[in-house]
Amino acid sequence: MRKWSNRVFLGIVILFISFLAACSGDSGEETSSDDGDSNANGDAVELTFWKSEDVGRADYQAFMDIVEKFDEEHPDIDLQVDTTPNADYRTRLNTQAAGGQLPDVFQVWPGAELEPLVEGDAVQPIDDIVSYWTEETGLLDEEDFEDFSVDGAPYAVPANTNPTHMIFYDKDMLADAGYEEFPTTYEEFLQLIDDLNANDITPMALGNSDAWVLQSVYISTIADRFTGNDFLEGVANGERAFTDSDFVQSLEVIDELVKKEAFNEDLNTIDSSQMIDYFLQGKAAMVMDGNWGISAILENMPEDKNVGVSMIPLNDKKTMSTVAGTGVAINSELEGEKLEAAHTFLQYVYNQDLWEELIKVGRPIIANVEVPDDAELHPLQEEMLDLIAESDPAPVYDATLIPAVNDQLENELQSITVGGSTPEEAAENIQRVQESEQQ
Amino acid sequence: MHLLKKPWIIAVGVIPALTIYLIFSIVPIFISFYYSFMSWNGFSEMQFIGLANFKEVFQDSVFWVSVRNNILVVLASVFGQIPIALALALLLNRKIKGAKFFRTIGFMPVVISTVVISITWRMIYNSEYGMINNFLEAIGLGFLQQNWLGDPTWAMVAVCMTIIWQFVGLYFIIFLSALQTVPSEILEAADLDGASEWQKTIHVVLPSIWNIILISIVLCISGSLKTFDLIFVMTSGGPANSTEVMATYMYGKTFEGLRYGYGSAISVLIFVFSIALILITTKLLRRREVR
Amino acid sequence: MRESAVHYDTVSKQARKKKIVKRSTIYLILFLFTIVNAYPIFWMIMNSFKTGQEFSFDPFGLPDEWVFTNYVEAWVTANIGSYFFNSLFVGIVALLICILVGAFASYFLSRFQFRGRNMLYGFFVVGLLVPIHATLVPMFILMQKLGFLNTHLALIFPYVAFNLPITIFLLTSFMSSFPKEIEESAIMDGCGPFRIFWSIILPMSRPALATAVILNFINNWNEFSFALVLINDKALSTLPLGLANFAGEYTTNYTAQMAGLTLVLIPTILFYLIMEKQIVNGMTQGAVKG
Repeated sequence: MRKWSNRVFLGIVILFISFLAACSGDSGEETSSDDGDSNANGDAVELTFWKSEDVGRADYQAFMDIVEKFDEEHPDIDLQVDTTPNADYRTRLNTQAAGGQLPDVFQVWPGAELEPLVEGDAVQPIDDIVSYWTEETGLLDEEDFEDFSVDGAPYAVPANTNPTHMIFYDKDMLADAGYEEFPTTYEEFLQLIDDLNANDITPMALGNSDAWVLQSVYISTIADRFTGNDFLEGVANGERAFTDSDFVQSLEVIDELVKKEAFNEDLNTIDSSQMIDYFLQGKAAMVMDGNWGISAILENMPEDKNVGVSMIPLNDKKTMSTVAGTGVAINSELEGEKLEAAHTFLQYVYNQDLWEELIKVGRPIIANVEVPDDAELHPLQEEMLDLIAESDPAPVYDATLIPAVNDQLENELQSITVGGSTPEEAAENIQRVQESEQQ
Repeated sequence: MHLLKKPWIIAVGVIPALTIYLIFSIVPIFISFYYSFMSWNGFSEMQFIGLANFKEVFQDSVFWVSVRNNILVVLASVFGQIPIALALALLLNRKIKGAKFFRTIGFMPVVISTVVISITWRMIYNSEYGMINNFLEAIGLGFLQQNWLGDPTWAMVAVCMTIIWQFVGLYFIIFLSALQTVPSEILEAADLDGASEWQKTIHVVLPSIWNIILISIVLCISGSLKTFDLIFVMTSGGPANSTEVMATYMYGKTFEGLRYGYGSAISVLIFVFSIALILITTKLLRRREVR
Repeated sequence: MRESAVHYDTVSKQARKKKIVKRSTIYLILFLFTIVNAYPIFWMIMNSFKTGQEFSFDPFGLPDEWVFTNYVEAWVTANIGSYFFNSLFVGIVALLICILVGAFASYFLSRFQFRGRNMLYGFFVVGLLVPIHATLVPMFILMQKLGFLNTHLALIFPYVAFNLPITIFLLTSFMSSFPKEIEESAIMDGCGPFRIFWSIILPMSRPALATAVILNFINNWNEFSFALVLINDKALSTLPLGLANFAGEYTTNYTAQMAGLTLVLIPTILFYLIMEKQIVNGMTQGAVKG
C-alpha cells in the first residue's frame, strides 16, 4: 500500500512542477505577443490570416497555393495562415470577435453576414485600394464589389460567383421518358415529372436535412421568377411582404412539386451530398443543386453516364440566384505598416493568376479575365459556364435576409414538405418574424 | 461518518476541487447569465435591455417545442437507459462465457463518434431502403412502415431510440462497478438459505446498489437536458423544428443567429428547469428511500 | 429406491432442459445486442477501405477492393501524427488532476460530518447542469484575461472543471456506501485522515475510480468546442479538430473520415479494456490489500 501512495505523491509533485513550468512559460509568451511589433523575425510585419478549410476542393487549393506563393515572395511580411474546419469557422470567428481578438485579415461572407461585422466596427473598408482593380489593372468593375459593400463602402474583393441554382439531369433517362431536350416551359417540366413517375423513376433527388437546399437552391431562384429582382429590398423597407401573392405563388411551386411526388420520399432525412449520390446511382433522373454540385458529380460519375445541366423553366425569365463567394476583409484596428501589408496581401492574391486558376478548375469567376489557353474543362463544366453566362443574376435569400428570418423561411419550407404548413401559413409565419426582427 | 477536530483538514481536502470548479465552470456560466440581460451580436457594443430576452423566449413557440422534446428525451432516457443498463449489468456481472467480450460491446456506443452513429442510424431509419422498414416488410408488418426521421410525428421517437441506445453503456459500467461492492458474505448466506437467483437480485443486490441507481437517474436527467451532439449532427433539429431540443436551439440562436443575449437567456432557462427537475426527482425518490 | 431414482432423473432432466432454454435465450439476446452495437463500428471500418465512388454507390456492402490509402490520407488531413500527442497529454493531465482533487473532495464529503456539507455537495452537483455551449464565449474571455489562451492550460482547466461534478457525484456515493467500521479500527491504530484516504478508502473505491477515469478520458478525448475556440496554435490542437477537417462546405470526404475515426477509436477501446479490468476485479483486490 505504501508503495502505491508514494507513487501517487510523486505524481502530484511532478504535475505541480510541470504546471508551474508551463505557467511561467505561458506568461512569457503572452507578453511578447502583446508587444506585437517586437518580433523575433526582426523587421518582418506579422499578419494573421484566417480562412475556413475545404480540403480536397480544387478552388480552395488554388487559392491557398497563391497565398503560399505570396508568403514566399514577401519575406518582409510574416504571414500566419490559420485554417478552421469549414462547419466550425463561424463559431470560432464569432467567439474570437466577442472576445475582441479578431485576426488581421480573415475570410468573410458577402451580404447579410457581413453587415453585423461592419456595424460592430470589426472590419474596415478598402475603398482606398479599390482603384487597383477598377483602374490600374481593370480586372474588376465598380459594381462587382456590390455584394461586399455595406452603405456604399466595399469591404472585400470578390473572386468567384456562386450561382446557387442548377438542374443536373440524366440525358438518357429523360430520353427514355420521351424528352430529347430539357423542357422549356413549366407545363412541360411538370409533364416530365409525371412521365418519369409513370415510369417508376424518382424525378428529382432532394436532400434537405440541412434545410438550406430548398432555400438557397430552390426558392431563391423560383421566387425571383415571380417577384422580380427588387422584392427582398422591398421587404426590408416595408414596401413588400412575404404575404404578397407573388411570393406565396413561389411557395406553391414547392408545394406542388411535393404533391406531385417530384422528390424522393426521404428528402428530409438525407443531406445534400446524398442527393447527388441518389442522382449518380440512377435513383433519380434529375437533381437541383448549386454550381458546386458539379465537382461531386464529375468526381464520382460512372463513365457511361450522360449528364446535362439546365435551370428551371419558369415564367419566361432566365434569372439564376447568384452571390459572390467568400472574400477576405481587414480588421478595423489595423493601421500603419500592418495595414499596408494587408493591402499588399489583397492586391497580390486577387490577381490574374488566381482568376485563371479558378477558371481552370471550372469555377465561375467575377473578373475580366479570358479563359487561359491551357484550361481543359469538362464539357459539362463548359455547358454550365455557358448557362451562367446567358442568365441574369438574382439575389440569394440567405445572403440577403436577416439570419432569423432566413431560419424561419428554411423551417417553413421543410414544414411545407411534410404537410405542416400551407404556403399561405408559411408566408404569414415568415412575415411575422420579419416584422418582429425589424423592430 | 465522523466528526473531525481540525476543520482545516477538510478545507485542504475540498478547496482544490472547489477552486477549479468555481473558476472554470461557475464563473463562465454566471457571465453567460449576465449576457441574458443584454442585446448583443458579438460584434457590437452590448446594450442592456432588462428582461426583454426572457419575455421573448416565453412567447417563442419553437422554444416550447424544444422544451417538450427535451422532456421526451429525459423520459426516454430514464425509462429506457436505466432498466436496460441494469439488466445488462446484472447479466454480465456473472461468470458467463464471453462476458468480457459482451461487456466491451455493451460500452461501444458510448465511444463511437457521433458522426458515425448519425450516419448509420439515418440509414437504419431511412424510409426507402432502411433496415427497419425492410424488416417490417419482411415479417408482414409493412403497414407499420414509417418515414421515421422525415415525419415530424415520428422523428422525435426515432431520435429518442438512438439516444437510448447510445448511452446505455454509460450506466451499464456505473452499475457494473456498483455491483462489485455488493458484499459477497450476504450473497453466500442467501445461497445457504436456498434463495433463487431472482430472490437474491431483488432482496440483496438491488437494495445494496439502490443509492447508485438514484445517482444514475440524476445523471441521466441532467445529461438528457443538455443533450446536443447527436441531434445536432443527425437532424439539426429538423424537419421543421420537430426534433429541436433546448441546447440545439440555444446554439442556433447564439452562433448562427448571432444573438448572444437571447441564447444566454435560453441557457439560463435550461439551467433553471434542470435544477427544478432534479430537485423534484430527488425529493420523490428520497421519500421512497425512507419508506 | 427405484422409484425415487426415476423421479430424480426426470427432475434433473427438466432442470437441465430449463437451464439450456435459459442459456440459449440469454445468448440469443446477447447476440442480437452485439449485432446492434457492433454494426456502426463494422460499417465504419468497411467504408474506411472503399473508394469515394464506391461509398456513394454502395454504402452497405463490403469493399470491392480494399483501399488502404484512405488511412494515409486521414493521417495527413487530420494531422493525427501531431494532434494525437496533444490529445493524449491534455486528456491524461486533465484526467489525473480531476480524479485526484475529485477523489480527495469526495472523501471529505462522504466520510465526514461538517457544517455546509450538503450544500457543498449540492453545489458540485449543480455543475452537472451547466450547458457547455453557453460557456464558450465567457470561457474565451476568461482565458484571455488569465493569459491561458493558446496554451494547453486553456483546455486542461475547463476539462477538469466540467468533469469534476460527475466524478465527485459518483465517488461520493460510492464512498458513502462503505460501512463506517472500516475506519474505526484505523483510527484506533492512530491513523490520520490522509492515511485512511490513501490506504483504505481509495483502494476500496477502485471500481468507481476506474469508471470515473473512463468517463473523464472519453469526455476529454472527444471534446470539440473548447478545443475549437481556445486554441489557435495548430501545434497545440487536439484530435477532434483534425477530424473535422474532412467536411468541406459542400462535400465530405467520408472514406478518409471513416479511416480517421477508426484510427482514433483504437486508443479509446484499449483504454476501456484496461480500465474495465479494474472495475470488475476491483473489489476483491482492494479487500485483500486494504
